[in-house]
Amino acid sequence: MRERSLVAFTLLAQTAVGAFLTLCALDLWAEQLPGVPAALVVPDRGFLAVAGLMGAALLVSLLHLGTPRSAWRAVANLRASWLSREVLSALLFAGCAALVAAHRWTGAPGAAVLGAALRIFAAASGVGLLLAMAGVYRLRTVPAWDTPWTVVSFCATASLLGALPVGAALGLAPALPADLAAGPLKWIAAAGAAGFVAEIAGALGARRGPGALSRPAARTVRLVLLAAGLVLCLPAILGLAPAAACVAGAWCAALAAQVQGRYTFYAEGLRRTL
Amino acid sequence: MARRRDFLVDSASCSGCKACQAACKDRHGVAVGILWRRVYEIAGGGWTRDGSGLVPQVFAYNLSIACNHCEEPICAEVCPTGAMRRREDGLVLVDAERCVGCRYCAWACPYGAPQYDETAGRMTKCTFCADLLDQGLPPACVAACPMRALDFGERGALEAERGLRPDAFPLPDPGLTSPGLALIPHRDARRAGPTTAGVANREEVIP
Repeated sequence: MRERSLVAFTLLAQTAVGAFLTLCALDLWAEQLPGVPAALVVPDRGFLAVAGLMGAALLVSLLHLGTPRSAWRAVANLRASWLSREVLSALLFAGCAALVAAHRWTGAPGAAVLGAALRIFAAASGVGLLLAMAGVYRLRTVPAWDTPWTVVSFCATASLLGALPVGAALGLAPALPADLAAGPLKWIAAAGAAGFVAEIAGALGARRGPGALSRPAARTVRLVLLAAGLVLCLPAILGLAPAAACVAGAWCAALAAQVQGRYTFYAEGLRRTL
Repeated sequence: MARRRDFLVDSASCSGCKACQAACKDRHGVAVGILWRRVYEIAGGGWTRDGSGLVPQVFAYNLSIACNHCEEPICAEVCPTGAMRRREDGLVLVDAERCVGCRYCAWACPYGAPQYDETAGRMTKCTFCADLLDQGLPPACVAACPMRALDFGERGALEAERGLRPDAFPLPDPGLTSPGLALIPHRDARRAGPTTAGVANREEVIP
């Protein structure tokens, strides 16, 4: 399949955006905790990993181009092309995420305002990237893609592949007391569950679009994976014991479902009559 | 103002000889696997039982399609580099130097017109034989057609005069891109649809 690199690019980029937004939310929550250093809740390497993921996504996207050395030209049609907008927002997000990581890593003193500004700018460009990615596929000439489910599915992927691993890492971190982690873990699992519900609804309800699979066996496998992930989110939402391990399991189910779903997304959209 | 042109395809007269396809490849030295002009063989229908006999209701027709140099070319709209452009004379051409080979135009075009050249790493497409037009000559595909099933003319005139809207199966809704194409449909085209007919030579014409 020619679009293998785009499967990797879209999943990596959406994972990076979802993880970044989750880390920022956790950072804000940690700042309210008395006597708990923010770095204990959100380690510097979390933001570093996001920057690395986004860098990897950009590199992988080059593999799709016939002439990668001219890739810089891809921002030339911002006025009309969603692909140009996607490239620009991906570059902005990657740059801002790297700056946030560097800022956290170096621990620049007295620069809290700069750090906050960087995070806000990165978060905005990340959300912009998700919307631009969806815009790329909302082509009026490709009915299988030109549906609101494309937007929903891309946001769900950010939630499933980005938030869930952050939640699992938070819950499994040995330095953080389990009762302290339980609160945010509950919300992260709830966001993951919402992502699973959206994807299941897309797979069941949409006749066209990323949720619709033409092959019944592939559709069944995807639905089973999504349902398993949804069930695995429940212990964390209900505050039951193996919450972090279940969230990690839910992430594994989500990863398998989304990789399969994204391959199908391209196969369905690029099936031509002419 | 430069003259703008449409292709006219008389599907009722087309015998499917593919001389247009061959002439295009020959004229432009198009690589193997790429067809700027393609002849689709549409087949459908079936048999119904009448007493102890079977009555055939099969049908088939041909459709010769290249780039339609649309009024609203979505390939140019989505191209991130601006390599795909619509000239003042209505021709939609790709600037190979600017093209990065992302294939987004190929996804977007409902006619399958922009095609990827693996060797060059860039998109290629029908040029309406712009060089021949400049000399007052017809495009190679039009000149090669032994049935006179292919022609070209002033943009909009063919459709306006004769009501030749290009909406026979399997062509997409012309409202999507306003193609520069006028079509005389085969009489059986009205029986064809997504559930009753299909492209019989899919492996040949769909990249």
